[in-house]
Amino acid sequence: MTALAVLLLADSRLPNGGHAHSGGVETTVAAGFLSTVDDLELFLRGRLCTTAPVLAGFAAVACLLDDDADWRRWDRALSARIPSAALRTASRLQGGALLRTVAGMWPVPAGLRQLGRPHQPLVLGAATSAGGGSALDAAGLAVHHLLGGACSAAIRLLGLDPLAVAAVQAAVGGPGAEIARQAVLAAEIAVTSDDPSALAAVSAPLTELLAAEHAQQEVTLFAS
Amino acid sequence: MKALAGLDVERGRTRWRDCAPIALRPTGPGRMHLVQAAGGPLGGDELRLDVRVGPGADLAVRSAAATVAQPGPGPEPASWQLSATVAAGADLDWRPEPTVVCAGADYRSHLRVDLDSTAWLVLREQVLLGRVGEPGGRYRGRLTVTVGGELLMDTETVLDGADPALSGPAGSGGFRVFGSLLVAGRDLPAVAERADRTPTLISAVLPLDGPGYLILALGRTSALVSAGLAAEADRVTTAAGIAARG
Repeated sequence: MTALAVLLLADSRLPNGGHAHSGGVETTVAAGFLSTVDDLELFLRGRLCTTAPVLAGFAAVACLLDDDADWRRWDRALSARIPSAALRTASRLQGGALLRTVAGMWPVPAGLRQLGRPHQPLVLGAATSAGGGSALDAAGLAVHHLLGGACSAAIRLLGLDPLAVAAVQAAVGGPGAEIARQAVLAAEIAVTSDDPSALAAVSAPLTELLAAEHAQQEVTLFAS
Repeated sequence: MKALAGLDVERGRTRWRDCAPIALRPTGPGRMHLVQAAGGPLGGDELRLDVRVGPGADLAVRSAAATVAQPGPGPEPASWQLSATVAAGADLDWRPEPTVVCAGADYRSHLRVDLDSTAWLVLREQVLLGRVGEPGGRYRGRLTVTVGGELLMDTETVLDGADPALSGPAGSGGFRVFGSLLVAGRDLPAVAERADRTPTLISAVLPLDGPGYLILALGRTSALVSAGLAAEADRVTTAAGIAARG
């Protein structure tokens, strides 16, 4: 039943609150950097060479780690890669919500639960492992949610043609799958050498700046 | 060209080892200037500087001119590495001139600073994509900072003036100049996250998950980014002063 478990984790109908986050799209739209389907494709391709390798790497690591691993250290290594407090909070809110959901579905490592609100990619990777999926499944899920969350938010915020957006999401799927494969290679090195520094650490300056701006807005549709 | 230079500062004495093209010159008490004794760096160059600031010592590092990264004869990137340790009660103030990444160049830097939990660091970087009228090359800058053995920050900024994705809405937003100012270590004020945006400059103060904060800026010109970093830094210290008096 592995395939169904992985598909369940990919499903936006899973009650984990993912719909409350736009993956940075809302603030990028508000600042005037994103308004068309072409802009969205550039946005997704930008995310693929910045945030995606980081999230996919940590999801793959969490899938490979033993239950009694030092989860706090890996959680801290991801925090160190996210300068914006607003983005760290968004990641922890989504991680906590997903942990609540999956803790009732499969056994989750105690060390991860003890973190309270771990970063979302760690929970996603541990849940993938608990459901019987692979590190490549975990990395792929991280990339899928990054792309899918942005696409769905762009449709709601800009009224873009959903068919055109689906075509764009499919077009970046090839490069996205390659990012996931590379993230697994990095994760295997990181886990074997017990060293998080082998994982990608890319942060995109505009994303961090606009996340800080979003957090100080009084009225927003999405939490991040 | 491969070079490994060293700089070792104790209270009251400074020792250094130049290695062409990296040259160091004392320019005041506790102050050194980095001098590039050759053009470049060019693709294929591997330059490294190891710095140690001993207990209670202060070191300020500046540079004589902008670093201009240019393409080399082959596909290899130009690489610049700084590895610094800052001991108990010591201060490191690292604020060199900007790095200009010319069209076709591939420049990688890795700055690593290990701070004692009672040390203090300010580190400023500025990157210009291209000389005037050119799109600029590729820049990868990793910044790793630990405080008292705990990882505080580990990020890599990737910029590429010729890559529509990296210079687009999830990259540098079409801005040519990137700047960052990191303050970390002892006696830091409480910092709230905030951002400011005009059509020519976006800047923000970001409190890190530990003893430090990062000021980031993207702007049209180097002068705007320098002023933006300085203005955000002033706001942090002014707010802290008001809180301390209140």
